[in-house]
Amino acid sequence: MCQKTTSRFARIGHNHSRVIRELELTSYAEVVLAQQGADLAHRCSAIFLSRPRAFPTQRRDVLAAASRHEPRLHVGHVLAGAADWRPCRIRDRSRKSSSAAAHTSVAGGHDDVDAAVGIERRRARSDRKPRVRLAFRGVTARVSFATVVAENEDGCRALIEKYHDPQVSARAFALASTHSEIELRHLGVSRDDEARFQRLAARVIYADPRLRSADAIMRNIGTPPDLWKFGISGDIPIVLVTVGDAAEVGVAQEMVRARNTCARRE
Amino acid sequence: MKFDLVILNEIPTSYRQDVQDDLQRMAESGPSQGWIDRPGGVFLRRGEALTDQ
Repeated sequence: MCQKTTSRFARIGHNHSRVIRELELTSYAEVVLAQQGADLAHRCSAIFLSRPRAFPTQRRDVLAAASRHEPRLHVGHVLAGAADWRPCRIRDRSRKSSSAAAHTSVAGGHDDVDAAVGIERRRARSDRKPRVRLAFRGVTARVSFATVVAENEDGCRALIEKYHDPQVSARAFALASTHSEIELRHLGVSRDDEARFQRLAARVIYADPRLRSADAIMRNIGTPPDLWKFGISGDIPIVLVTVGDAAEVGVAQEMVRARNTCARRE
Repeated sequence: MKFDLVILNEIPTSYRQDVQDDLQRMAESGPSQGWIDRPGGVFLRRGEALTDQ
């Protein structure tokens, strides 16, 4: 069964002032179910055929289903908030007054929390935006946005429930960070290298023209079957490194490391 | 995320065989070994072989 989650942690505010600060949060998720190529080529038809449907949820998270084929994929978008309390005198005073009591949470517990999600670029929005209230000085709020995907509605609801607990996101991040640390060490890749390789991967996925040789493309009269005799299928993106000089072996080596790193990422 | 990494050695054969050997050795060591000439792997080719056709 397909179940996936991505989450983002955001440290959204630290109140440096003496007054109450309220921040409105808006989050968009754009989910594309079609293959990347199809989406780039026929965006309108991809949207038209997806038939997204939104479901009501108890906590005003966004749950929607969209698919061109059965089974429909269910996508949920969750905003969970946690507040850090910094010990300071102002805080102690404020806590005694009823007006400021328990005011450093995502407003209204989870009742006011909602988020906007676009399924295949159709955006679902609610009139009420989630708010974070930083009731007094020295208070920081942290929130986590999680996007979950499951093959059925129940699976998606279970994931939404799970990621409402900010601790779950925190644990997931800690685990992922340790895992990636070990993996990078194994690959002999530094954090900087990884960031560079990720930028490269993004340019490959989105067919970024900056790394393409416009001149060579203009001159090209071949078709993918012409690649077959060289043992290259043309079914997946090709990254070409030309070595015209012994000094350029380093570039090729760098690209082999990039391939090894990207191959580990889904 | 998968892509075919095609390394095209355009240095003429008559000059430097050692560059081709370096590239070969590099592709065959580390995690890319076992991925030579396989989809999502490393494809080491000589430029002159490609331009002939």
